[in-house]
Amino acid sequence: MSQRRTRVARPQSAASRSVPATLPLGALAAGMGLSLLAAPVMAQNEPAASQTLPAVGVKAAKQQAAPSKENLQTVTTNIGKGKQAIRDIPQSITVMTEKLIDDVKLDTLKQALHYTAGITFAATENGTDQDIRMRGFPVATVGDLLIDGMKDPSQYDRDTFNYDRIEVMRGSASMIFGRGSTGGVVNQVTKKPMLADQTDLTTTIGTGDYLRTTVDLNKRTDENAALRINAMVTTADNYGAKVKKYGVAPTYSWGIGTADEFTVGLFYLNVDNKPLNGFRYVGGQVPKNIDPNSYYGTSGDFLKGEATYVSASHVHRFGGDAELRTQFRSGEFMRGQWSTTATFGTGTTQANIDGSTSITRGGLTPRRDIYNGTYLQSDFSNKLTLLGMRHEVLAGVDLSAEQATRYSNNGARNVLGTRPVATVGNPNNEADLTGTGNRPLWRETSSYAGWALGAYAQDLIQIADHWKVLGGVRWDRFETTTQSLTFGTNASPSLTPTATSLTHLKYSSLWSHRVGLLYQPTSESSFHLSHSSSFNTAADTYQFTTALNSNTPAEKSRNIEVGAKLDWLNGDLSTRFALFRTEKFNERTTDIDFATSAYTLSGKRHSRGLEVDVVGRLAKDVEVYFSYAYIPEAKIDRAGSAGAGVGQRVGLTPRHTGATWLSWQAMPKFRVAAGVRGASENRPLTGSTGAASATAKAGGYTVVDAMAEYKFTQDTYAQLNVTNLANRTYGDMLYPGFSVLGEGRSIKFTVGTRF
Amino acid sequence: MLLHAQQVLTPDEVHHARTLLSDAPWSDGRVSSGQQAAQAKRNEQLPENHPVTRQLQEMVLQALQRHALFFSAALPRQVSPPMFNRYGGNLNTFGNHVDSAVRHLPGGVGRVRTDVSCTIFLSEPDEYDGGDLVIEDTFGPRRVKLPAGDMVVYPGTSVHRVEPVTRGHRVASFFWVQSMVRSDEQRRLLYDMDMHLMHLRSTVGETDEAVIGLTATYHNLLRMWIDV
Repeated sequence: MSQRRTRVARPQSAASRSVPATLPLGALAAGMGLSLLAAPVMAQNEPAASQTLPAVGVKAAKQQAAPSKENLQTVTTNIGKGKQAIRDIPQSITVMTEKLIDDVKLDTLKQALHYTAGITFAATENGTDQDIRMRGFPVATVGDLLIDGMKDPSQYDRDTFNYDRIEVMRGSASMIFGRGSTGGVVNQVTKKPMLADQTDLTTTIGTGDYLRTTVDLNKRTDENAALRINAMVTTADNYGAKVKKYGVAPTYSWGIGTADEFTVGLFYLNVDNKPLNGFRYVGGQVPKNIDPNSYYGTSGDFLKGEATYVSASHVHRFGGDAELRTQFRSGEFMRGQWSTTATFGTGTTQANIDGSTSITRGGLTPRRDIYNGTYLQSDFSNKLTLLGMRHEVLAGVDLSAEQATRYSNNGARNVLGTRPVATVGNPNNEADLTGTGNRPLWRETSSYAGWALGAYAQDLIQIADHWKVLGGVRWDRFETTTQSLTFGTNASPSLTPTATSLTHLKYSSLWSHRVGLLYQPTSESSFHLSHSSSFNTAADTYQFTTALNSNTPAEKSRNIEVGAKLDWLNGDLSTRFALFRTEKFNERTTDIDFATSAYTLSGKRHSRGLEVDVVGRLAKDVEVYFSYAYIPEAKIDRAGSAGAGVGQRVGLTPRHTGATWLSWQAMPKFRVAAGVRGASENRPLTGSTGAASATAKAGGYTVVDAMAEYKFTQDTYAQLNVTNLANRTYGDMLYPGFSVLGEGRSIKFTVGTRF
Repeated sequence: MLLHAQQVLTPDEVHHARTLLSDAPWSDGRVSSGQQAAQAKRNEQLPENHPVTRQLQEMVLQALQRHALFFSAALPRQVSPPMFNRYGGNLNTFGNHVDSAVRHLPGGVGRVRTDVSCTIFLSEPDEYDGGDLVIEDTFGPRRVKLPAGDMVVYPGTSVHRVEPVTRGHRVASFFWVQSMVRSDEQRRLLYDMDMHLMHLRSTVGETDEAVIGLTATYHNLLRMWIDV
């Protein structure tokens, strides 16, 4: 400091800088604490014309909102466990911010994932709608869905109300996340308290009696503490496919930004929907002349889900860049489903479907499952200089204990009723089942208990100007026990199994790695080359663990990728490119959705392709989001003794998938936006290998969504959304026997305010 | 007048800024300086319209809102959007220069007369060697190197420089204020009077006759000198 520092009288509370009791006269004269000028400072969705700050008149500045609410673009991510610049991660990444979620009105994770490339959905006989595929490999069923970086394996219907953003990292990543992650991971980042007082309220009404209200309340309770509460209620008649759900998520943080920051949170979501589980193919194709909003279910159909968890985290900052972040989550996730598939009468062709075409309703196998998961992980990150080189070190341990219990209908006591026939022209007729069993009587069929321990370390080294090398390794230990129960058809008592099989599975040491080379010649460019591995254990699916496969070593995969992340227009626009080859090179010759009895590790499949992301601001009043994947090759290379499917394309892997969203601030208060999403021809999985079906397919499709927004004031807006503008009928979730149609046209009107 | 305002940014705000700035797209600082200054300028700046810049600008402006002494000393009429610079490596110094008299705001949204210059330090003094802000005052050179979160406020009329950073990085935010009182001398008198009056008001009380009289004098001087 200077030899002669100007000393000034400081108000006593300068440290906490609450306004001193005695204000300087000059401060009062200059208007401190008063709003003199209505010069808005970058408020939400500020018309871009004033995105560069005007000279700030002296007034209380607006509260800083969460950046994710304001921008499609983001430059940092936590998906690699520590906070990193996206440009420093040598893998393909897509981030969907809350702004995109709000703009497009993406209520559920499934809707949101339609806005990221390379992701498809399988339908199953149990009617899950969370069976996600990425680059041709399963995601959800193997625990690659994450909440804040920790597994979220259940099949419940996820809602976006508490998401700050959704991060998708593609390619093998066991080095970060342990088992699974062949095609990549999807991370749901939850909203965290901020040091601001701000409440967002939105109400949406829409076609099909849709009504959704969300609250996002953030209150600064102390100098370094804040409370954030998110809540949501949604109901819709939806022409029969009813939606009824609510959720609440309070989170409290204290010590924000200090050496020790703590966060505790609760989350509860309750879903009670009526789904329609699809239509049988007509001539091997999705029925073309059916209104996608048609519902042919019955009064006995349901999709119930419940998620309850507590979470806690602690960040210790050692000063400088060293940080130790510990996270804990424990919760229970329940899902139960019984739904209908519609089969058209014999002789039906695409051409002759009309109102009189008869529909036979089949009930899928009812299923209920409860997952319990407790996760604890600690990650240490630091930046340091060793031998003149900059290092960014990341290391951690994680521990998980998981249980799953599955139930099916007790057929000995409860013969399920029959669904009556219908006609195409008479949808949503609220038909009742005939017979006595109009709902399942649950009986446990299998249970799973397992624990896993993992430890990893990674270093990102600046080896020369512009060059960084990344190396990481991880060790996992994993142990599970699965119990399967078999029941006789007329067993009495029916809750006593005729056979119980216990299978123990143990992997005492599994290794995975990630290495990468980054070339960053300028602050706007980063090029990467990486090689990473992953493994899948027989118990990835929290089931299917039989004596037969408990002796099978883990499957192995590898991912080779070369890519570039380039920023333009002073960083306003980010573009990301990746060429990848992902290969599962010693696969059990079964697919998780089709358990058979052949377990060898002689299977092999691979996919290769290109992914492109463009996100940010094209011009001061034009924002863009674009995500596209081209996968020309996805092939079953080798299979087991059956040899079925070798040489065929992998199912659920269209050549082209993509989505874009373009938003234009046409006038200071008026913004319009539109998006296109779609995929080329898609085929379901068949047989034991996951090859594409030769007999059934969903044609390529594109769907247009559109939005218009008018801002009455800086903080109050009205928004009109149209989803699936042309009311296109397309197959969204595919199964060899049937497909579930994508959402039909809906119109939604939202009013939102912030105070 | 040279003022050292302490803890303008809280430690968590500094940390937040540092986190965002650690991987921000820095670019050559010469884009924002006048011709003469460009000869002397060797540093990096954050593009003015980058999302990170915008976010941090707002944070800094909010922090200023809380700082009574800043208001008393600068008597701000307009504040230019805060900018962010970094000294280190090869781009580590800014030789002697005077800031342009007028700061044209990006997007042609206005002008700010640079009566008062402000620098908020974002790096701790022990994180870098060199990098002193040296201000040629009427009393000779003043060397300034403050803790992270602190701010120096000095007249825009002074010749000043940032000495070469020989180790580490010096990250800072800088901006200008167009004051309601143009003259540095007058501002200084008002500020001193204000500070002494604050002391009196809190010890003698607001209702003391002399305090009321002097307060009136303060306002009368302000009235005489102010452009609103």
